[in-house]
Amino acid sequence: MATNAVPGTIDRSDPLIVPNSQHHIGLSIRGELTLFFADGETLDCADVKGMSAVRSSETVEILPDGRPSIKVTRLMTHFHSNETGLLIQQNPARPNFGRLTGVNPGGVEALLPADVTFDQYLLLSLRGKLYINLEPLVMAADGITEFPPIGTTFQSRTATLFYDVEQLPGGITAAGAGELPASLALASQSVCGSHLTHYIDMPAAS
Amino acid sequence: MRGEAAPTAVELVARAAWIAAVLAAAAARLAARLAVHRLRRPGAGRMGAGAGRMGAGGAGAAGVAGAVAADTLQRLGPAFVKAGQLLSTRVDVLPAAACAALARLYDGLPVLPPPAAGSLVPAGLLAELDGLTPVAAGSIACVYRARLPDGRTVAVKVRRPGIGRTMHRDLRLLGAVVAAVQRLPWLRGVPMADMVEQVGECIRRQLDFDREAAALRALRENLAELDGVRVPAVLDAHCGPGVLVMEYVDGLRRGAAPAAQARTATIRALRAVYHMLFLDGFVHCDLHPGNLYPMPDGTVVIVDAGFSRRLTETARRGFASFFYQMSRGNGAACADIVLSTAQAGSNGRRADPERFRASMAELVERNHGLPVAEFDLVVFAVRLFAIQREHGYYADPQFVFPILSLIVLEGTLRGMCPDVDFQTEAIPFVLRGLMR
Repeated sequence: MATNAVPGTIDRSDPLIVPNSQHHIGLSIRGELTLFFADGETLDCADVKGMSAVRSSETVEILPDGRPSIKVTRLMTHFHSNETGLLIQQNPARPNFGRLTGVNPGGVEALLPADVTFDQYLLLSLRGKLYINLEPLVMAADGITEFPPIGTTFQSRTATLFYDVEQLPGGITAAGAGELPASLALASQSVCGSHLTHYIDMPAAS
Repeated sequence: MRGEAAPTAVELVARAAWIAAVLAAAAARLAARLAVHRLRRPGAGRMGAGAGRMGAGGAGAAGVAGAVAADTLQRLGPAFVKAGQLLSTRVDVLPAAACAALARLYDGLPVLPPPAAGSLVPAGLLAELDGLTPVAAGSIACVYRARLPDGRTVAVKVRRPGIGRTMHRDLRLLGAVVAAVQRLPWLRGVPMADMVEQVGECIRRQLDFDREAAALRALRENLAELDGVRVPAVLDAHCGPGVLVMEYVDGLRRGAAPAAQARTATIRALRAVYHMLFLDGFVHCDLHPGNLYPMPDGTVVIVDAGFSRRLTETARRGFASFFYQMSRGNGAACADIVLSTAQAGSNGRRADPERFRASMAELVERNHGLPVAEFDLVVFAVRLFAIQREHGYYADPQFVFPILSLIVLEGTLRGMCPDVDFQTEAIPFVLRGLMR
């Protein structure tokens, strides 16, 4: 697999290419991804890698404080850990939106550097069971200088609970857990330092 | 207590007269000291919940009032001292400076001499105890070291003579006094009657050594899985009415552990409290430095479980959910959790859930993601309780006591290891608590 296979003609640090872009990216995640179980077991997954696809909106909004902001959508997530058998995919029943907001006031030309967050609804497969989160796993990175933010460390701001799909009324489409306790949790210290392994699609500058 | 006659009407009247005289003298002293205080620091301090954190008996009218109250309570006797000790933890209803001033009631209590203590120990047990030596004195009981015939050293906790009757009498009088003073303008809105009821319940529980023995057993069992946390074992076969015999832990002294070990021990204590709160739902609510000992080997010893509370399962889950949502910065969810437990009608105001929600969201969002050094649990909790009162709610004691246990511990923690992140340490326990 080629590393850093981005054509030299594309400058991902150019804010003008952010709107209406679409990227399919191979990533290796380096850092901590810890799962907590009800019985006190913790599972550290240090070898997570996989692919992700991101699309940005065409529309640039200007916030009341003058900063430009653009909606981003996570189209696909597929990560796995060979050591633990963990598979992480996107829950197809829910959209995974995010937002990229320029640090400085301005128009489209001020989209970078930016703070970016993604609200992720995932489907975890582990030890023969499927789990989903009902509240978003919020991944965030501050001050990114290129989009997609490859090489940037994303951190989940909070811990997130996951529920056993088999026990949830509605399965992966469930919106609430009622009295059902969560089955595992992704710890708040989770860090995804993304490292480009290959690039399938190219941004479409407007 | 069992075997202790109820106070007679004559006794109550005489005691009430004496208490009235002491209180009148205290009121005069307070007025004089407040006048001096105002002259020295014009405009400084105001009575009322929500005052900021201040030093013990230090700046502010609340600190002055707390100091006078501490003197007065000490004069009034052990029931009032115990009430003052418990009130010293109630930053939810009293100014922090007053709480700090009242906290000195933990120190300097007289020891019951060994011969007097021995006379309270059942004869069969006394015959087995060799060398009864005082090691600690509290308002309800004193603790002695002794040796059993098999060579084991034990801690013998002996309830002070007549304390049950004294407490019963004084709590009745305290209730009457509170009912009267609650009409004072500056005490309107402070839930005094509820506080006395709650304090009374706590005191009654602490008088019950069977309950304390059960609490110690529960804590010891619940915390057994935690490394470096010790709760002394109860020696059931040797316990009797008014006497609790426990494993003796040598070296329970403040400052016995070097700084590094004290830090390790304090973090272990914090994890123990999180275990109690989020997993067990059984909480030692009185973890002031006299009940929590960092040891030279980095372990921590927890003693005196007389003031423990069992949370309902709903409250335990609610408490864990509150912390979880707070860690996510979700103030609206936090507000819903508190609203599901709070009681409407505080301060004679009509409950206003919408404004309450808005204030809670603002509070949580303001504190979310703060660096460790900037997050102050006392300030947060005081504001949380104030918001409830402002919008016509009382905090449910099921919620108050766990928060108070954290606040009491926080004082110790801040001094010992100020860089520890309360919220990060809590998360694994919160998550496991929500998975039960």
